Amino acid sequence: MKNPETFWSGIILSSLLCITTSFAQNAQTLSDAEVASVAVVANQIDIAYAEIAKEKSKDAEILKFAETMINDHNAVIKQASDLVKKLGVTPKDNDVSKKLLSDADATKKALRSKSGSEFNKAYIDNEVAYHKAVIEAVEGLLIPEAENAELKALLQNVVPALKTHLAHAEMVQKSLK
Amino acid sequence: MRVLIYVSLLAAIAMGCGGSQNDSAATSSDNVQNVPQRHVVEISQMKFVPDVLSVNKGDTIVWINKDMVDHDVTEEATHSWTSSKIPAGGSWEMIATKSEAYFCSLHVVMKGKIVVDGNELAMAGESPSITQCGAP
Repeated sequence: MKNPETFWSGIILSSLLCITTSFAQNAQTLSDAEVASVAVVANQIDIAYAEIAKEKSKDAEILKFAETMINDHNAVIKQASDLVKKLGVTPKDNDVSKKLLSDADATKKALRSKSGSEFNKAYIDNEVAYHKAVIEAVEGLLIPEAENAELKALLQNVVPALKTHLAHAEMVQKSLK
Repeated sequence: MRVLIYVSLLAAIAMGCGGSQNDSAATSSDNVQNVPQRHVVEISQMKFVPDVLSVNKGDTIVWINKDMVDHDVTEEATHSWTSSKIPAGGSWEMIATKSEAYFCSLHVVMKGKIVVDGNELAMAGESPSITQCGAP
């Protein structure tokens, strides 16, 4: 593991991209209930990472970034929850959401094993890698798979926020080096 | 004598009317220039739109948050003023007094600029008058 960011990117990107590619190759489809589940789970995972950061970090920039992740991803979850309620859809677990959750468990364990500046770096490296992977998954898998126009529009509206989070994370990452 | 007074009166009225017309025109023109305008900056898709806004000193700027997440509007150089959190669907306004750069302190890559009276550079000093804050 020469470069920690490469390490995190490797885990997350290989996981999400494998899933995306696998779906495309096997011509599998996700129902809107499954798309909604993946969207909610992806947001919940980043909130969980941020909660760990709030517990373990004392760095002002890390804490501020983590607070923004908690607020923003909760806002997205609320929008998604309101929409599925309106549409009468119940988010349904699927291979993608299960894989995301199992990978997140491994990442959370790795984050919890670190402390101090090592933790700060691992957390923000993971945030950069995670947002890159999620943007790829939302644009390459969830938006194309979503059939309902409102669900598709919600996912499209989330992308600018994810890209802003990525740019913010990269800025914090640079400041830690 | 009565004729003289009458003529003088007419002359005074005529001059007064002329003067009044000129004054009226000048006042009207000044009023158009000096009436404070109201400008809107939409916060949408994680951007300030427009990101650069040219205004006159004393104009009101209203930021309306059309995103699904909270934002704020904070002076960038020294954080000398801030809107505090503007919730989704909320708005905040202030009176512009000088050219300044601002950003969203929650999403630090979101930036905007106010250009007052064509002056590009912000000068250190007074803060803008904050007149109202909160959701509509």
